[in-house]
Amino acid sequence: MRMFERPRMAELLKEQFADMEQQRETSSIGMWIFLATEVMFFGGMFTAFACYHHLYPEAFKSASRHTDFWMGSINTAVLLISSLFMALAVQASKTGDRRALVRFLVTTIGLGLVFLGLKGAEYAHHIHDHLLPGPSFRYENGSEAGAAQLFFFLYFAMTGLHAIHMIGGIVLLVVLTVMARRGKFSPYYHTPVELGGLYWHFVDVIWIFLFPMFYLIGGR
Amino acid sequence: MAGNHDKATALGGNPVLMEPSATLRVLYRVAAGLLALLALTVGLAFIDMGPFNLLMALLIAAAKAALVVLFFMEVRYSSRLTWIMAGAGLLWLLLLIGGTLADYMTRVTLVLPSPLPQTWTATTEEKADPRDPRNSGNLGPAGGWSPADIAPSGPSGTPGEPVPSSDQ
Repeated sequence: MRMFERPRMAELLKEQFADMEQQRETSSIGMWIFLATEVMFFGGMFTAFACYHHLYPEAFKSASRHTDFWMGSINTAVLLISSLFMALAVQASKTGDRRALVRFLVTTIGLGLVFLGLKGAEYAHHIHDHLLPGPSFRYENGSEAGAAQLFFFLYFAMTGLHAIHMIGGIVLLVVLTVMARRGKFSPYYHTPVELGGLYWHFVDVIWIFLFPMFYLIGGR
Repeated sequence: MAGNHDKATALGGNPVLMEPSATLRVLYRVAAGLLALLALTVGLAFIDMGPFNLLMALLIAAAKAALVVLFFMEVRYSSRLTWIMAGAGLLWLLLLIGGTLADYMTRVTLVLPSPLPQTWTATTEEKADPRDPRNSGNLGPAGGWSPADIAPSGPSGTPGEPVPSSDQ
């Protein structure tokens, strides 16, 4: 364990809390409540997908064969590994290992950027293939075109919303990295790193469900 | 965790030991498990198992999500209050999806009694209906009603024709 300066605890502990543990848990619970509202936010779209998949099961299957299977699989792996590094960053913040914390945070940011880059390449590919819903939408099977367009509307809306959350997460991690470099965190106080981790893992969990919905249901 | 609320006690102690959390070994194992599950679900996509493809993909996704939530998000090591918060999000999500699907999956043909002479369909059962979005390529609510449903349509839709099986 690296040496760290023992901070003046009275400055870290806000007066409305009895002790550091209560202060930490209050922040954590607040983050969980926020994540529960995020579940509801995404939940409406998951419900829409479930309903339309129920109404047009065959069209959704064939439409899902138009998404980039291997790109999606690689992106899932990238995101899962980024979550490992985020968890390692939280551990490093608990033991006060500042150098490891910065290294893990930067790795997590890098993997997040790789994910967004691959996703952008996928989007460009789909738009080129006229799969973006709207006037330019083209689909080879005319009788399934309407339902396929619904599928791709949900695809762009849900992965797009997920990507916006990824961008937000990356901004959050950049702020945490700067704070970590300045030595703001120690074994006594590292709640922001933990909360950032909760958010990053949550975004990962959303993708874990988006992946089978858009890439796997049609088989290969 | 902190029974003694004396300020001096609260500020001291070993902060690392105060928070139970996943060890590095657990984190590496969970990550290996997640990647193994990903490989499994990718592999299963190449095998045609009919409706079980979807079921297996969703079950594997749920297992991966559980690993992330329990170990990476450390719910496994958190207080009961955290469990309730995480559980509440899941419960309301299941109510939202379950309740809506319970409606969509149980919709049947709706026959209205007179004075309206036609059969109104509120399902997707008419296969050759040109208004059906599956046949026209247009977006639209599959079970939605439109004024066209009331107007006479097709050879059987003559105005004044009695409704086939009505209680009246």
